Amino acid sequence: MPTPPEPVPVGSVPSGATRRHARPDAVPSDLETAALVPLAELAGLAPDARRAVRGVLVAPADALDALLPELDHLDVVAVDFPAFTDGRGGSHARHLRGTHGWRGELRAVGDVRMDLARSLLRCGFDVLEFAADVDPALLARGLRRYPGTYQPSYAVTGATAAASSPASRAPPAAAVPAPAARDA
Amino acid sequence: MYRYTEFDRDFLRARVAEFRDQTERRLAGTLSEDEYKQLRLRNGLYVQRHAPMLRVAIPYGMLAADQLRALAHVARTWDRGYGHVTTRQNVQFNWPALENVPDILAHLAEVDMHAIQTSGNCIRNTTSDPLAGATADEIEDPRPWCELIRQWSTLHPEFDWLPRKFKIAVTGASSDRAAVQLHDIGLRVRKNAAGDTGFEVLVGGGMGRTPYIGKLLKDFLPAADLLTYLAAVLRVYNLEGRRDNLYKARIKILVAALGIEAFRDKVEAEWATSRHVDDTFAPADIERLRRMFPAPPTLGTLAMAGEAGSAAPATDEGPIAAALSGNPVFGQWYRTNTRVHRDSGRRIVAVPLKNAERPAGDITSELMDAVADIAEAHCLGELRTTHEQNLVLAHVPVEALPDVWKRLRAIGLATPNLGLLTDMIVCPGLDFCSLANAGTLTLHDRVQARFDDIDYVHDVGELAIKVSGCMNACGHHHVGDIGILGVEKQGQEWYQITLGGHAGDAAALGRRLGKALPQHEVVPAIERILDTYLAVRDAGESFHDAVVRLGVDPFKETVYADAA
Repeated sequence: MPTPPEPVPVGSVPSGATRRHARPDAVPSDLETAALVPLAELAGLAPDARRAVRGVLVAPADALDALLPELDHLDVVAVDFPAFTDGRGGSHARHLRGTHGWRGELRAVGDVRMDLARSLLRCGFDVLEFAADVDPALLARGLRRYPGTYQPSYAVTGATAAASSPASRAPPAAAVPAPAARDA
Repeated sequence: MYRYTEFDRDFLRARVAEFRDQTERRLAGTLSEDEYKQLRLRNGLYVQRHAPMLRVAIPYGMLAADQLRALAHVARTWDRGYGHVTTRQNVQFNWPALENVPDILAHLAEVDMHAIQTSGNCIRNTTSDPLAGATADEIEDPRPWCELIRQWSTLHPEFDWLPRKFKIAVTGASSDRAAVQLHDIGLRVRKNAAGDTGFEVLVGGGMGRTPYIGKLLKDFLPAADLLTYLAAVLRVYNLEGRRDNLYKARIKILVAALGIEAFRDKVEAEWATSRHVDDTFAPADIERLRRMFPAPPTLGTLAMAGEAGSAAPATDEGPIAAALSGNPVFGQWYRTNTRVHRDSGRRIVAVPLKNAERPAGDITSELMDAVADIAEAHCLGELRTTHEQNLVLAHVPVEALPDVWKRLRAIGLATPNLGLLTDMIVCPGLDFCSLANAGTLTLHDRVQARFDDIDYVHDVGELAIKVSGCMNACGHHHVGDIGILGVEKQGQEWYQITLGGHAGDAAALGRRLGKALPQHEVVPAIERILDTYLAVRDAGESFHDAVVRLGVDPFKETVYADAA
C-alpha cells in the first residue's frame, strides 16, 4: 500500500563520474568483486576453505540452498545481472533480506544500469556496481524523484560487512513490513 | 470509481517527469536504445509498423467521463482523431510522435491516467468484469481487489523484469465475463461456508502461439492472503520461468512443464516462508477501497448480490412500455444491446464499437466526447471498456433509455449487434502491427459488408467471431465460436479457421476446421458455416451449443465441399 512521502537518503553526491553507488547508511566491504567465490564452486571446497570464504557471487540460475549455511561468515553476497532485463537477482535479494534475514552487504554486479538503481536498492541491495560510468547528479535526481512507493522496501538499514555479529543470525520478525516502511 | 489521493497524483507526476527525462536523454543520445526500449515499454510506448503506439491503461476497464474527454483530446491534439479499445480493456493510440509522448502522459496525469506497465515483461493491467457492480450474479465487487492488485503491482521492484509479460484478471460474479481461465493468473471471488471472502486461483491460462486453459492452483485463498500469495507465484515464475526462448517464457509453459502439482508445491513452499515478510494489506486498506465503489442509488427493487438462485428482478419496463411498443427499432436495440441490471429501475447499456464505418474497437474523438456527455447525463459520469473492444454504460435508469438510444443513434453507435455476428473481436493486423501476417481490418470490412442484413444477423443469433492477424492471438481467435487466424504461406495471406472456442465459464479452445484459405474465400466459408448451422440447429439452439452437440465435422464438410 502507498507509503507516506519521505525524502530518499541519497548521501553526498561525488563530483566525478562513478561506477559505484552505496547506500549512505551501509558500511561496504573492501572485498573486490573479482575475488568473490562463485556459489557453484562453494560446495566443492574443503570445509576449512569454505568457512574461510568471506564473499560469494550468486548467478541468476543458482539455488540459494548451498549459500544459507555459510551466511554467518560472509561479509558480501554479490548477485550477478548478466542482462539488466534479467530480474532474477531481485528475487535472490528478496530471499536473502526477507526470508533469511541476512544483514551483510548485498551487492548488485554485472549489467547494472543507472535507471534501475532505485528498484535494486528497494530489493535490498546496498551496493551497486554499474556497467558503465554514471553521472552522479543524474543518479541522485533519479533516486530522489518519487514521493514514495506502493510497496515497502526490503533494504536493511545499517547493512554492514561485519555480518558475523549475532544480530545478523537472528531470523526476521514475523510481523509484516509496516505500511510506513521507508523507500531505499 | 477509485479516487486518486495526493500521493497517487504526486507519484504519477514523478513518473511523467522521469519518462520525460529518459526521453530527452534518448533523443540527446546519452541513453542507449536497448535500455530506452525497456523503459518506454513500461510507459506503454511500442514502436510499431508506421509510428510509435501508445497504450493507455484503463484499470479494470473503469473510465470516468472526464477521462474519456482527455482521451478525445489526446486523439485530436497528438494523434489522428481516434483511439482503439483493446482486448485487455486498455485504449491505444496509433500515431503519436515520440517526442510528444511525455506531453501526452502529462495531460493524462491531470485526470489520473497513465500508461504504466501496459507493455514490457512486467505485471500488466489487471482486467475485470465490465459489468462489475451491476449484476445480480455478483458475489462481491471485484474492483476493490483489482485496485489493490494494481497498487501492489505498480513499480514493484522485484517483478518488473519478469521472463515475460504477466496478465491478471479478476471476476466477482458466478458467471465469468473477464475470461479468467485465459490469463496468467485468474481470480474468482468466492465465499466459503462461513461467509468469508476468498479467491479461487487459476494459473497458466493464455492464448498466443500455445493456448492453455488455466489450471486450478488454489481452491480457496483467504482474502487476507491475496498479495502474499500472488508474490509467491510471481517469485517462483521470476526465478524459474524460461529466459532462453521468448516463445516459451510465459508462466503457462512453466506450469505445463512442471505439472500443476509440482508447480503448486513450489508456490506453497515459497509462500510458507515468504508470507510473513512479503508486502500485505490491512482490513482498513480494502475497506477504504470498497468505499470508493458504492452501489448507485436504488431506483427500483434490488436483487441481493450472489444470493443462491437469485435472478435479477425483471427490468421495470413500465416507464418505457409505450416507447418499446411504439418503436420497433428502439425495441430491437433494447433487446439486443442492453442487459438486465440488479436494480429493476436500471439497465446495462452496451455500446458496441463494431460497424462498417471503422475498424473494430475504434472510436473517434467526436464520438468519445459524445459518449462522455451521455455518461454524465445518464450514467453517473462513468463507463467501462470491455475486452471485446466495446464500451458499457452500466447504470442507466430505465426512464433514460429512450434518450440514451436516441443520442447513440445520432452518432451511429446504436447498431443492435451486441454479441452477434458483426460484434467481432479483431486485432489491428497488418495495417498497424509489425507482427501481423494478415490484413485483419480488410477481413472485418468484408464481413461487415457481406452481413449487413440485420435480420439475418439476428436470425443467426449469438455468435463470437474472433480474428487474429498472427499466432500471438491478440484477437483471441482460440476462444471464438468461429476463430480466424491469419497465417503467411509463401509470402501470401492465408486464414486458418477454428470452431468451437469459448471464453466464459465453459472455456474451450477452438478446433481447426481444415486447410488455410486465401482471403477471398474466408467470407464464403463463414457463409457456409452459418448456412449449415441454420439448417441443423435445434429450436433456440445457439451456434456454440450446436457445435458442442455436433462437433466440427458437419461444418468442415460444407466449407471444404468443393475440394472433395
